[in-house]
Formats: sequence, structure tokens, C-alpha cells
Amino acid sequence: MTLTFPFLSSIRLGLNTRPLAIHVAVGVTASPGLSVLGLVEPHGREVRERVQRALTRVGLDVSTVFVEVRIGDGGSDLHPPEPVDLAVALAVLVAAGRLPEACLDRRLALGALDPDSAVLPVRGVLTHLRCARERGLAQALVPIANQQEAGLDVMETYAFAFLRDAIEHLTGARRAERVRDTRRFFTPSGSM
Amino acid sequence: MTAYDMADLPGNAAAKRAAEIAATGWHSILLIGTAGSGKTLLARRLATLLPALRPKQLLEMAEIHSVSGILGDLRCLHHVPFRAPHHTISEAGMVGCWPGPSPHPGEVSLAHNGVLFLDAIADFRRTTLQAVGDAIAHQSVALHRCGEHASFPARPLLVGATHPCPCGSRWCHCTDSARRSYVARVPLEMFDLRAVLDPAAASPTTPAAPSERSANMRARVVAARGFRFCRRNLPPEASTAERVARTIADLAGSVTVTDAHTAEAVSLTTRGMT
Repeated sequence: MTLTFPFLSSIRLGLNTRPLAIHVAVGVTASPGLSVLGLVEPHGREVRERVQRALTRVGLDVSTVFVEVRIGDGGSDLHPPEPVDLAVALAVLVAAGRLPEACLDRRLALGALDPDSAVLPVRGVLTHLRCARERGLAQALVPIANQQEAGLDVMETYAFAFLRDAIEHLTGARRAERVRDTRRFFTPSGSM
Repeated sequence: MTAYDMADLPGNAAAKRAAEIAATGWHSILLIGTAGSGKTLLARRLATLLPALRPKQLLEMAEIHSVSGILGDLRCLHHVPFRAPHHTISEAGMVGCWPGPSPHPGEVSLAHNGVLFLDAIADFRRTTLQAVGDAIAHQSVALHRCGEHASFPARPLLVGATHPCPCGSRWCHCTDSARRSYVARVPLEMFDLRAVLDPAAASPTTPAAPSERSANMRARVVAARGFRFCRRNLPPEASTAERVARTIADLAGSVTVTDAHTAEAVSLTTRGMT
């Protein structure tokens, strides 16, 4: 079974982004384990390590099943400007049946993961959100350390400290609070 | 954060007037003066003459700072950017680069809609200055790598500073040839205006005359910028002196450019370094 999430992640080019599709194939073969394709090494290997350990922390052992994640739409391998860990982990959780498939529709997920499954901040969140909103996406999931910055955009955004918080939010077990609007800080004064 | 104000800077009325014209017309300006004459003080305060950034500009600045990883407290973001890179900066640091996975904006983009201050401009590498000039001319920087391309906006107000001679002392004993060779390294062609600062005015022993506050000067800058919408635009082929004269007329609230405006513009654009 192969699932495709065309807009779940995005790649940043200056102050623009383009969608980064994530394809996940799950099955039973002679060579179980998680593999990540489409990124130049060592990025692919690093994403695989981080995601695998974070998924283990939330109770999904991917070492016994075949899970192949392909990032992008073919062509040359990518240098991801920001880590795609959270998007990959959520896509794998959907493919493994731990999350409903519809929960990632028209959503953008940004963030790196550490071995404790904490969602780590990334750069350029504001650019990702603006471009995703212009692309018609409805919601974004961002690291909690980026929530103040994310509040500068009007997109409906939720911030998480751990992967399990994002899972609980997406399953409806415990809804997160929407990121607060921080545009009030932009009170022009012009003085230095 | 320190609150800078033009009122803190004693004397140098002519240089402050040039700074006001630069802020009004977004004219690049070269500050010339000996060590301790107040070039950096004036450049730092020139940013206080610029009108407050609009919400769209603030968001753009927040995006650039976020991408470069320096987005701090959002409450500090309403300040006009002021960047002062050291003269040893590389071309990549100045205009941006794509060293690893992500493209990085350079100083010229971090100063977008603010002030890019190049102190000791004669000591910058020529190629770095050319890259700055190109970026400002195109108002953006384009970076390419492996079939991908990224761009960052780059529209800073360029402010340069230099000594009139290699020693930079008020009691200069530089030879004519040393002075000529130093002046040749200053990229005068990058600047619309030149202002000379008087070291005596910045001296602590000089009685401080009351100076105008930044807020008053900024109000004139804003009014003059608004006045531009009431008059005809200059043709694209207008010379630097004509553009500066037009800005001076805007500051005076005059629809027509008079001889006095032109004379002041010519003196500001052709002032020498010796």
C-alpha cells in the first residue's frame, strides 16, 4: 500500500517555497525497516535515524515491517533546507494505521525530531506558512519554539512540544490550542 | 535597546541636512571625516529618520530574519534594520550564499528597507562592493544551485564612511601620493551624496549647540515623501544631481525645482574628499 501526501511538507527557496510530496509504502518483505529515499546523504540517513527513534518513543516499532518513505517527485535527490522529520513521522503513522488518513489533508507539518520525540524548531516558518496559505492549505503544525513567529501569519496553526502531542491533536484525543496572533507586536513606531 | 536620536549629535548641521535628504529620497550617502568626527554616530541616527516600516515590510523583515536564524523578540522588530558589517566580510556574507542545504541571506538583505552602513569603505574588497552595488541596483539577490534558484529582497539605504586620508587623523601628515592612492580606493560612484563631518563639532570641549530631534526631522521626511505623490515623476534618464535636487524641492514643498535646490544638490553630489 502506498500513500501520497502532496502538500504535507515544503522546500524553501529564499523567501518562496514549493510543495514537497511525501510517499509512504508499507508492506511485509524480507527486508523490514524504515528507509528514506529522495534526500542526499547524509540527510536521508539522519532523517531515518531521527524518525525511527521518535516513532519508537510513541510506540511504533518500524524495525519489523517494511516502510519506505520517498520524498519529492523523483529527479535528483534533495537538500532539504529545513528538516522534514515531523512530516515524515506523521505520514508513516498514517500509513501504519495509527492516524486517520484524512487528518493530514490540506495540512503542513514543519519541525525536526530528536530521539525523545521532541519537536525541534526550524528556520523560515513564516515563509512556509505564507506560501502554504497562498497554496490553499488550511492548517499547519509547527514546533512550539516557533509559535510566536507562526502567530504573525493568519493561517490556522498549532504548535507542539512532542510528537505525541501532535498525534493526540490529530486523533482528537486532546486538542491543542491554536497559536495566538502575535501581530500586535508590530506596532510601528519607527524610533530606534 | 539604546534609543538613538539626532539631538545627541552636536553640530554638523550640513551633514545632518545631507542625511535628511538621503532619508527622503533614499539616496546613498558617503560620510567623510577624520577619526572621532561622528561618522558612525550620524549613520546610526540616520536610521531614526526613516519612516516606520509598514506591516507588509515588517513581515518581510521577519521572514528574512527567521530564515537567517536571528529572529529574536518580536517586540524589537518594529525598528528599522541597521546593519554594519565589518570590512573583512566576504562577498558571500554580504550578498548571501547557498553553502549547505539552505540559502542564507546576506547583510544586504538583512538591511532590506533599512540602513546598510559600510564603515571604512576603502578597506572593503572591491568585488564585495561590486556585489553590493549589483544587489542594490536589482533590489534583490538571486542565488543558484543545482538547478534550483532562490532570491532575497535587497533594498537598503547605503551609507558609507571613510577617512579623508590613510591615517584618518585631524592633524594629518599623509603625503599627497598616499592620500591620492587612498581616495582612489573609495568607490565614490556608489554614492549619490557626500557629506563632510567636522571633527571640532564632535569634540567634548566644544560647547554643544541645541540640535534638532530625530522625530522632527522624520516628520519632514514623511511629509516630503507624501509630497512626491503631488508632482510629476522625474524621467528615468535624470541625472543623480537632478534626482537629488528634486528631493530637496520635495523637502521644501516646492512643485518646481529652483536654482537654489539645484545648487545645493550639485554641492552635495560633487563634494570632493580633499
